[in-house]
Amino acid sequence: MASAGSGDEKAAAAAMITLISSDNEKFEVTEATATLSQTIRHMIEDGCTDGGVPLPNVTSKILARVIEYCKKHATAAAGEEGSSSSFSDAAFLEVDRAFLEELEEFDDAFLEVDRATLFDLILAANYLDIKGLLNLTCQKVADSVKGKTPEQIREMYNIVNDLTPEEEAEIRRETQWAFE
Amino acid sequence: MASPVAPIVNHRPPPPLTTLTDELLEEIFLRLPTPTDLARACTACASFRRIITDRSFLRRFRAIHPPPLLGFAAFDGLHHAQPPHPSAPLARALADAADFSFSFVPTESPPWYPRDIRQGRVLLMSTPDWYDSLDFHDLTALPLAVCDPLCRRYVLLPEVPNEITVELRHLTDFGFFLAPTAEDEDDTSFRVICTASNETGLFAIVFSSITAKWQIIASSSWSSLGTAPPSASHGFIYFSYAGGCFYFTVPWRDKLLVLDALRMEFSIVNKVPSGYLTRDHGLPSIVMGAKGSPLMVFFGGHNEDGSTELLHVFKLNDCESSNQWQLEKIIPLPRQSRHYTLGAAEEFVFLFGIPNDLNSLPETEYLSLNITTSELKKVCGIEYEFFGVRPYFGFPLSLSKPCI
Repeated sequence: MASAGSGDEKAAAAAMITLISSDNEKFEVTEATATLSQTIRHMIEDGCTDGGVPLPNVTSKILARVIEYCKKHATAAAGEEGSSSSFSDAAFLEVDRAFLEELEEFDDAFLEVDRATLFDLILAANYLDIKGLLNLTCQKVADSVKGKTPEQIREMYNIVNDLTPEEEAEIRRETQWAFE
Repeated sequence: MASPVAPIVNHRPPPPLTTLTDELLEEIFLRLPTPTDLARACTACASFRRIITDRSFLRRFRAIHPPPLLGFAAFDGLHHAQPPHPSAPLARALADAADFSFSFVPTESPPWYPRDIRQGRVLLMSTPDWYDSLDFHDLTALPLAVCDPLCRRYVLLPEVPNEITVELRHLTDFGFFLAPTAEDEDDTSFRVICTASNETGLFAIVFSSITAKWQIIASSSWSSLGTAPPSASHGFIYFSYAGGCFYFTVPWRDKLLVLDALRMEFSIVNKVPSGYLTRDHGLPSIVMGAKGSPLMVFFGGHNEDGSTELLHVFKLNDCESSNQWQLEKIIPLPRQSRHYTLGAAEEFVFLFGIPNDLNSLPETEYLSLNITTSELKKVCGIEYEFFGVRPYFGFPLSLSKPCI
């Protein structure tokens, strides 16, 4: 991708990819950021990224968020590779620990979104095959369901109870232990 | 660093969770921490119930969240976990739903005795474990069954064919076990292992539910194990299962015999701390440590005041070739009782405690000790003392599928 003859390694390392959202907005990202998505990684490997990567299932709002996540975590992944290969000093471990804490704080802040956005992020993470983001967002929903009664779950997630009274009574009987 | 994206303000009403695909709902339910949360979500709507009670989902959930300890099976039924044990509500539900008297398994010579339990299946024999002096004539006419006490399903095993006992000759020292089912195997198929020895070596004869046949799967001569045949008066005593391996004591004090049930290979572990065979406090136990290396647990040593309520935990050295066991830690137990080890499963060693003041408690306390955390918990109280327990780990009926 770097211009021939320049021999500029930095340009090669910072190869850029253009991602195009469903509402036709273009996002320039580094290959390292984009390849957190297995879907995009495969497209790059197959050489189908010239002229940009259209992502018809992801809106610009959500794509901006996803890129924000990938940028942060791509830096983290690069940092980890460096530390595991060459550093074992306590000082570097300390840096690692601080960085992990920072990453955790980033993730917590990242998840401060309404439910509609959270679901859109789950769908995008699934479509783009970004394991870390899918784990993070699914865990967030699971944590919100934890400790809730079926009534609270229905109310919180706008779920219609389509069980017949007989079916519900049967499940209640079978799962009585979960309500003690 | 890029400036953070402004929070998205959205006035759409929250979408129903059911707009996510089944595949994504599965991902969410897999991340629920307890079976209780799973059971509650299951009651929210029909599609949640369909997803959660699906066999492949429950299998994935079990792989991430190991089923909790619900109680001990014995000749007189299930002794389930009692409050304040955290599994008590689930254990009560299990006790109500399951048949641990095994009355649904036909027999010509009642009753059935539970001999081994693994992954929800129970291996039944017509003889209790305190009667193990079987000779080779008995083996071919021994009633054996495997059952699922929760779903009330069973398989009566065929007799071990004469060809096998004729080929191997003069077998003795029998042990009967349920082989662990690997994750990639069909979860309704099972294998039963019969271990035995004679003057030439050790054998594992295995029944597979897929082929419905007994076969000799593993054999090792005494010389290949680096030992001489044991004298007739000293047998092998099975004492623990951990991480896919069955462990036996052997007549030689500082050694152990191991049957790796996944690779189906016998081996000898040398240089075991010889104190492990002191039986004053029950048999030793093997558990898997947090780092996946086996730990050996037994009572040993004395306190300054002469009490012996000290559990020693030894770790097999990381460098396996040296086969040295290292003292990992010592766990002191409450001094008000005298404790005996009863066996082990997962990260737990099971004990019973008899109070020094016999008037203080009407029954014997059965305890679980988590070796990783050293946490000691009462599981239940039983009026008498079993010198071995068969722990049952599982989920209640609503979150279980037949395992036979």
